Amino acid sequence: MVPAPMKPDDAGASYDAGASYDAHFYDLDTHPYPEGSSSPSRMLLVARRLGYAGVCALHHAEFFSAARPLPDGVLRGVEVAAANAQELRRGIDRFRGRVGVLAVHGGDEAINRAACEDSRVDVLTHPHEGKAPGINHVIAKLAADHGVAIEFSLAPVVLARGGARVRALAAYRATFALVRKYHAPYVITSGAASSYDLRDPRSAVALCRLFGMGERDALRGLAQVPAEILRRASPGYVAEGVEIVDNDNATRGG
Amino acid sequence: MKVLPSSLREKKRYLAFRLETEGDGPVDRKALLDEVYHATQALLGDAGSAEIGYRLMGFDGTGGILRVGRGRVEEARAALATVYAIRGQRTTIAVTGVAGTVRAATEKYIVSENIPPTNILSMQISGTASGIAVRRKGEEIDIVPDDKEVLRRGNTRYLGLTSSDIVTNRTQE
Repeated sequence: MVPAPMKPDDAGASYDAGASYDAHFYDLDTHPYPEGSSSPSRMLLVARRLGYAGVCALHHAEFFSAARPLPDGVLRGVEVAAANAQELRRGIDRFRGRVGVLAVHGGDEAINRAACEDSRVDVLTHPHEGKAPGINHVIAKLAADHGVAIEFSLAPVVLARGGARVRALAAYRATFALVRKYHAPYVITSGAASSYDLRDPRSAVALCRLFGMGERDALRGLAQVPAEILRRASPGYVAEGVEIVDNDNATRGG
Repeated sequence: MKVLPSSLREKKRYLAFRLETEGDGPVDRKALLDEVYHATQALLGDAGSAEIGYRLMGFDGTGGILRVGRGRVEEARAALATVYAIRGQRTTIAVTGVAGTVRAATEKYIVSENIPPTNILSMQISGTASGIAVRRKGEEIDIVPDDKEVLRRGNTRYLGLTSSDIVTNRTQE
């Protein structure tokens, strides 16, 4: 008998045996052409090569067009920017029925709070972008109650150097501690403006470790939470736990 | 000096990687290493860089094998992920796999597809976006778009398309 070849041990001591890289990864914050410099199909091609199942074309309102065709695997999304809570609600009213993923351009604390109070919002992007950290215990709890995912964008970690990156990592660390305490949903994204900004899931996990997020937590933000948002965007979805499973006789499962 | 017996040497891991670059032609070995050291230095400092202990084992201009200390694979991945340009050209380092020996890393994770990009000299194209196509690699087509603002926003030299985005002028007529 030939003995079975010995498997080399794990590449690092810190791997979590329960974590799986077979999940369907989605990058919910990319800005393809005409906003950035890769077309949606190029963004998708590179993302798939890196191990993602799909991406979301999350355009700011001025680049958004519901008429523009998108390839299969690219979700239609919008990032609503507003100066105050009232303007934000109007923006959400305007876009909610036309997109799969509705995100709010965060940063301002009043906007962060208003976004996390509205169940129609899927993602609050870069909440720390102002001078303040952006998320406190009140907003984290609201996000958990209304199912608004807090975004951890890898763009500042990858592209910034020095003070700006230090502030981003510090803000992410503080935000993640609150998000974990209140069980608020969160997503990990690239914030890519071109395919050269995309990073594969394993690199994303390695970058998340820099601000205290473990492997299993990071995979949740890359796969499970995006999957949940995608499920809400699917045509048969009615409300949490209520879904039309058979369109012919409108059977409702729950 | 006598060479350390293998049992006393530090354990290593070998990362197979592939470059994705906007630059023309293969990447210079020294330019790659400069950028890797620089990015690691910025993220983890001198002490962190020393712990990783990079050594480039093989490199052909588009991909290769990088040796790091065992147990430092995650730090190395994070540092390599923060490389976004080499000599001013947008480039990413994608780690394709990790192995315990150079041979295993080469056999399992170095894919020798190597389609060299073809230069298309100034072909006017339209479709998703209009502009002048400059090169093509497989399905990927890079163009100089008429709208230069997207290059500024995307921080790239070209607008990246795929063949599905293109309507050539001949088929349009």
